[in-house]
Amino acid sequence: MSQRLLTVEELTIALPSAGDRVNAVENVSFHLHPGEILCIVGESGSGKSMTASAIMGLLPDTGVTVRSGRIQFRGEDLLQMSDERFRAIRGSRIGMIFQEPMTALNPVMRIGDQIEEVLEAHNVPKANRPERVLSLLKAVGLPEPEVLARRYPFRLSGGQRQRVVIAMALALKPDILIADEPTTALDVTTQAQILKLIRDIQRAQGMGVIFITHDFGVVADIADRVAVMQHGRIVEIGPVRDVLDRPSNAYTQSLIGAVPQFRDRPLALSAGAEPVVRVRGLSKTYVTQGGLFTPIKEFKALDNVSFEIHRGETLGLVGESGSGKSTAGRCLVRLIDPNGGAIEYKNTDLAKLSRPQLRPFRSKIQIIFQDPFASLNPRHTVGQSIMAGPLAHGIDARTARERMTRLLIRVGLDASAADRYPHEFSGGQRQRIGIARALAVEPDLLVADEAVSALDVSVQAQVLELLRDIREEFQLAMLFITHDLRVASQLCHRVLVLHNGRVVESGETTSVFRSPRDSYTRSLIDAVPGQEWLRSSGGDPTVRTFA
Amino acid sequence: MNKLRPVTGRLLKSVAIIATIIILNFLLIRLAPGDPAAAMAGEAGAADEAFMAQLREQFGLDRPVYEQLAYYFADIVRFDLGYSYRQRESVLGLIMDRLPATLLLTISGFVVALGLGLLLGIASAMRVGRVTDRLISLFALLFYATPLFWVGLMAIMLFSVWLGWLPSFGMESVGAGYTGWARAADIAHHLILPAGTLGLFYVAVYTRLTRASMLEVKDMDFVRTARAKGLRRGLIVRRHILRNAMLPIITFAGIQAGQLVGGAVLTETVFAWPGIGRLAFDALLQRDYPVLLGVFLVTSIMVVVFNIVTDIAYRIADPRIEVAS
Repeated sequence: MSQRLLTVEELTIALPSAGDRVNAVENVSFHLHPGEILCIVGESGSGKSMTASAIMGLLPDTGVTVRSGRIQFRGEDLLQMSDERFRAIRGSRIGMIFQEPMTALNPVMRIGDQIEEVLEAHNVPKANRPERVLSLLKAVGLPEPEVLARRYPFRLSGGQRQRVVIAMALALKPDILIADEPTTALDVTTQAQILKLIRDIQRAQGMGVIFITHDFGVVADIADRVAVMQHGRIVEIGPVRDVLDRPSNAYTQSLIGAVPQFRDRPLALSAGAEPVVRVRGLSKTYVTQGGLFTPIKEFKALDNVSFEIHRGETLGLVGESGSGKSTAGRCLVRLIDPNGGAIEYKNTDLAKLSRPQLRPFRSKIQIIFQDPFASLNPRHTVGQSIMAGPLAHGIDARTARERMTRLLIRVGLDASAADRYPHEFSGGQRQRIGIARALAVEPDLLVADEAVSALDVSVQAQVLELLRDIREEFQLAMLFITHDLRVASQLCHRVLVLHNGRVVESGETTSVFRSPRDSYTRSLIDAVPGQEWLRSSGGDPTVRTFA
Repeated sequence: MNKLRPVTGRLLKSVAIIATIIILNFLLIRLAPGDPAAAMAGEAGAADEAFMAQLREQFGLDRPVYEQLAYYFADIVRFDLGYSYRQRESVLGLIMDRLPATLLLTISGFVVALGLGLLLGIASAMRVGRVTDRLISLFALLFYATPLFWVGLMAIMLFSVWLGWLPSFGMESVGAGYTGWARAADIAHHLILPAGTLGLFYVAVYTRLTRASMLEVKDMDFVRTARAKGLRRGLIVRRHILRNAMLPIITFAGIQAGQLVGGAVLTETVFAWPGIGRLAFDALLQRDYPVLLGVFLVTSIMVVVFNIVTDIAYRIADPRIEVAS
């Protein structure tokens, strides 16, 4: 047996007494060999991030404590170590990268200085540091290291920032890299690049990597071994092919079953002849206010986008961040005013209407947002939130209340939910409330803006199921905005691929994904993680690949 | 310099603001009941119509308003703020006489407040929930809630009357005739009570502000990144937490700095400190309009100047501002 780099033995981490369970992590044991990538998979609250924080000595100081267990690194127990000894290991022998690249860097410090700090903290002589910083920036594939080192983080994209964080974590060639959902906040194409970067460096340096993720596609692409966590315990651990293809645990099976896959047959559609909404040449240009000495900058968020959606039909709007997909959705409900183009609804051009003229049409097009935590007023009961729309449109209180109760039950909640506040519900439940709120005004068109992106896969699958049922039942037209092609493929009859505000490709979903004509669409599809696994595990991936 | 470029725009705006203040100033004189001639005649005791007309002609009060405004502008550009008939001295002279005393007091108070407030705030945030934090928070709340003048009076009672450690009024010992370092020491001795009193309220404000701001930044992702790098605690606090926590503090310090000239009336009154605040207060009671308007103008200019300074400080502290503005 090869030498173990890290051994975690019976680790138990206690939560503060107010928590909903006693331990965040319970009796967790695993080990890591040099040159191995161990993925820890689980849904939110499974304790996977907490485990990583414990190894790194970064548990939040709000009552979360290690109750028992050992974390052996090269024969020493990290938990018994002095603070100073642990500090010397942190950042030099064990590096860590985080989920949110946008907030992981100090906003008021230059990139170069932030990387140099690692070298400073671990006693690299001052004279060698600048050169090391530049070579690190180059090693993680960032352009113009000299320029970049002098930049502040806000000038960099999410992918670039994540590369900077990786450069910091790898500055001293650590033995172990802990990656806590490092690609979750990134676009698929960026995700594919970052995964490749981590893999390449890991191979070159023979590092051991603990990679935390909720995405089985990512697991399939990079893991050597997998540990599946649920409620703070490891329910299954083993080599990647064993766990993915022959999961022995019921929970693992259900998680893998919930992974969205590309659909192989077009969705049947009995759409009406007349479209519910017809969008023509929609454009939105943002102009930044020029100062006395600063030039005016223009940014075309949407450039001449046209589409129509029929009754009962779902149109997917896919693209990466900045592609203009959310702008399109917001223009449609007129949360943003477009600069040009028409939004035709029942012979009226909604784009031309003034705000008061628009009011009677507001109820006809409704939107569900991505963040179920931020989109409900925390000081209104769920019932109030759902009834506010109907009441504002002149429906009497009795009818509004009846409708609200009916909808709560329809979206799978209890009628008693009406008197409770949003914070009492989980993410998936709040998204159900958001759907009930949108349906309460009886819309013809529903815009779902990344409505399932923040949810765990199992919850995501349930909410998608709900959306599918509702679409059939109410014969709703739906604009489904997402960055996840697999989800789009599950739900959408047709898709529109947006890139830099323009439509690069559109058509029936399965045919677009199976044989994309545009190179950008193709690169999006190729970047979807876990395709090889899906192909080999018997499922028809239905997607042409160019590997 | 890239950082200073938008400031030129601010400078132009500031000139416009100051011009507007001057016009308002001028109109204020017009609004006061009776014209300056009547005021002067009143000062003199009694006067007939002919004397009033003569006064009006002498001071150009019979000219059209815009012409008078032009003269007023021309005077101000030449730093002529008028003449106080009550004090028999030019307004500029009076203000220049008092300005150093006020600046000495308010800047000392400002430095005490900012320095002590930051230290206490940091200490409090680093030991949140423990005894130190509780004590500091209690202290801050106490001084935040207590009226300034009362603190001043109590300080006089304690340190001057009972203990006899510190002088209770004035800026120097009358008739002592100190020079050089002895004089500076004497002034410093006199300064302790008023500057301390003035500073205490703001110490409380800065303590609370720093504590809240540090606690907010402390849990941010980039602080966790800094810890993951293996940085020492002191460095994390200084470079990562404090630098980001400074932003709201700078905003407030800028607001306070704008009031450096005009904001010490109470303290100056309680401690008989010969500053601008006292000058304005006395001018108000005596209807000495030229002095009042002169003080008004000088304090307005100070506010404008410190706003620009704050802006620059902000730009240096937060590189993102440049783009957002």
